[in-house]
Amino acid sequence: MKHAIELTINGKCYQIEVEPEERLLDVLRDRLGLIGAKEGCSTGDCGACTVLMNGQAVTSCMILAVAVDGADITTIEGLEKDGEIHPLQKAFIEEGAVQCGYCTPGMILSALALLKENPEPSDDEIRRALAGNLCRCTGYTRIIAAVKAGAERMKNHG
Amino acid sequence: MQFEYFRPQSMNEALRFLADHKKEAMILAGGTDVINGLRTGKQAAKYLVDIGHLADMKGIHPADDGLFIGALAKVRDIERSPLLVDGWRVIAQAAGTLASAQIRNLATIGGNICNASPSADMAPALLVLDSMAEIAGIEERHRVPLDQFFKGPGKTILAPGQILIGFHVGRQLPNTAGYYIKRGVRRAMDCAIVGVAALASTSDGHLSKVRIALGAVAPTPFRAYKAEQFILEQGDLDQTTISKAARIASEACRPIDDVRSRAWYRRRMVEVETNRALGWVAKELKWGEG
Ligand code: FES
Ligand code: FES
Repeated sequence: MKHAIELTINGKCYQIEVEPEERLLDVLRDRLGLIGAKEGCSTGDCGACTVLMNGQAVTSCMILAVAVDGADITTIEGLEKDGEIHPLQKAFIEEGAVQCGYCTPGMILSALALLKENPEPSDDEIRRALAGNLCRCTGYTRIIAAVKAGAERMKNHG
Repeated sequence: MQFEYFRPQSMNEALRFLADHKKEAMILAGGTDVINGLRTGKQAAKYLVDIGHLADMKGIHPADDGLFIGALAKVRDIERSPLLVDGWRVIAQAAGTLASAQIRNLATIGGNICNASPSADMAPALLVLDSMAEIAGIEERHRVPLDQFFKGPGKTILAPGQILIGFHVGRQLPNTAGYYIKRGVRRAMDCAIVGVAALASTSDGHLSKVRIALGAVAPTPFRAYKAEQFILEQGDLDQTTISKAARIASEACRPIDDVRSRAWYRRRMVEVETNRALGWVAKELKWGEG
């Protein structure tokens, strides 16, 4: 049986009918074409599917869409403002923290959730916040540098 | 996976539905274990009963006899709760070791316990605090000590139709310290190879309470009663006593070989980590410092 749900995604309201087994990740990618969130493991382990739900980082492969009726979701597509990417995204590019890019949307959203709570995190705090995001390319060092640089940029951009 | 989704509006409605569909219904809370179970086919259900919205099972609340932690309290909220200080801090600390930030934002303490994994990180911390689990069925509600709750890997005393409502955690003596150590393959994300929680209280310079609970080294999380008893008899938390108690604790476990670790290593690590956990507790209580 289908269920009607309402989600606010990147500030826009969507009314969607979903099957009970559809995950938030499926709705984002297959129904709405928001393919920034990636499917890596499908088991909650890799973090490639990370989005923000009501401001908190969550793995969208572990969420049934029907169960989060009314939620406020931010995906990587929602970070752009007036045609400009987010300061944290710029920092990832500048620090060379992106290689294949598969982990990047999840990394950035996990990092953003951290920086909102803790604008000046230590290396250890960054590592802990990103422990659920796997990257098979970069070796993490540049990602941590990018989060630090992003934190600086965000302060300057208000 | 195929199932029908049902979201009860109240506890009564949930209990009624579960009573009417005993074997066909499965409870959904945080979803981080259930969704994996359903997708891999390890679990199946005709109805998924989403209790995630039931307000009386949420949050952490001060109570007359201590604390009530709702089964739906998110692991992340437990990790950061301003109520979980002093003797209760071990719960918050254990919560911080579970999986990743993303999973902690979704997972509930009740789910961690009901899933009944031998390595559930919340179990040893709740066990050393003598927590009581509150269970509701359609016609009754009762409390059981948590150490009677687990029956085996994935098995609990919950009968079909019953819901775990939350945990009652008693007030602790002012001089109480507790600590949870998780040894895993990685420092984050992974399940524990060995989990050890230790807690002790002193009053008037005497040891009045000692608790040790172990995870991932037997079919269920459990209390190491003999080791606790030994320390109480010695009345001391010096290194000699701690070392002997850690040895006794390691003898009490029944570990298995699996992908994460060999049984012999688990047993050895129970001794090492029990030693460390008790050492931390003794230091925190300033034991032996005059
Ligand atoms: S796809 Fe969701 S955590 Fe890997
Ligand atoms: S850049 Fe390739 S997985 Fe991270």
